[in-house]
Amino acid sequence: MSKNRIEFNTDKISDVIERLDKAGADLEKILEEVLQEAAEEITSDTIDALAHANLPAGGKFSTGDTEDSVVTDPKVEKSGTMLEVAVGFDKSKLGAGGWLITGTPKMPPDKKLADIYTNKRFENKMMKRAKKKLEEEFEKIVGG
Amino acid sequence: MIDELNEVLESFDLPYCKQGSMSIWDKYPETFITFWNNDSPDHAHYDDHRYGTAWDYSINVYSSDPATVYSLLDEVREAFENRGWTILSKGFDVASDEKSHSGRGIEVYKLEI
Repeated sequence: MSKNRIEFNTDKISDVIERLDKAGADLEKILEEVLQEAAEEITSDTIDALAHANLPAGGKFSTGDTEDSVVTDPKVEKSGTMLEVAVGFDKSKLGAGGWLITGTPKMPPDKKLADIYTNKRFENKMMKRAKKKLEEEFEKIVGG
Repeated sequence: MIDELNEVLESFDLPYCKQGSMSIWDKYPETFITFWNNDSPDHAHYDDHRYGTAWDYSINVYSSDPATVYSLLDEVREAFENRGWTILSKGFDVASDEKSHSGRGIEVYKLEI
């Protein structure tokens, strides 16, 4: 089943991951929670974007099949040494989610959805949140 | 940076336009290119001054010939790489308004200091 994915570049949070590991934290559990939280936020933002009043073509593509194709129950799964979670639109279902993100020659990308799925700033925001959460977990562990 | 983008796209001698700018009545050209500026955030800030811009564009190729979509996109990728842009994938499918055409796109990045 083909869906969108978010990937956390752990290079950007490697220092706090290392500290957590040295402190004896259950790293996999913490990272799973962080990823799950991020996925749920992305899902909520996606649903909100679809409900936005100014969608292209008068919102024609935001209802019915497109809405039904949103992954509403993202679950973090382990795949080898990676943790991954599918978010966004389930490409195996009917719907115009992909169209809304990339646009077409006759329809510009939907700004809110494009910001979530193609804009690096959103990804950076997620990484900053993840780093903050990991720092908080570290403080909990060393704080006793 | 838009000037450089235009130079690269013009070098293919094909119609090109901003994604979403064609009207619903326009007929698709046989093969064409579209672009979209995803973002252009400031790269950094020092002493309250911005330093550099991180340009991020999507470049999409459409054609009635599926083989051309792939081969042209490879050429587009190479052309941007030769001008110092960074491209991190071989491409992704993009939606077409017309059943006669298919499309694929890439994201291109360049740091302007």
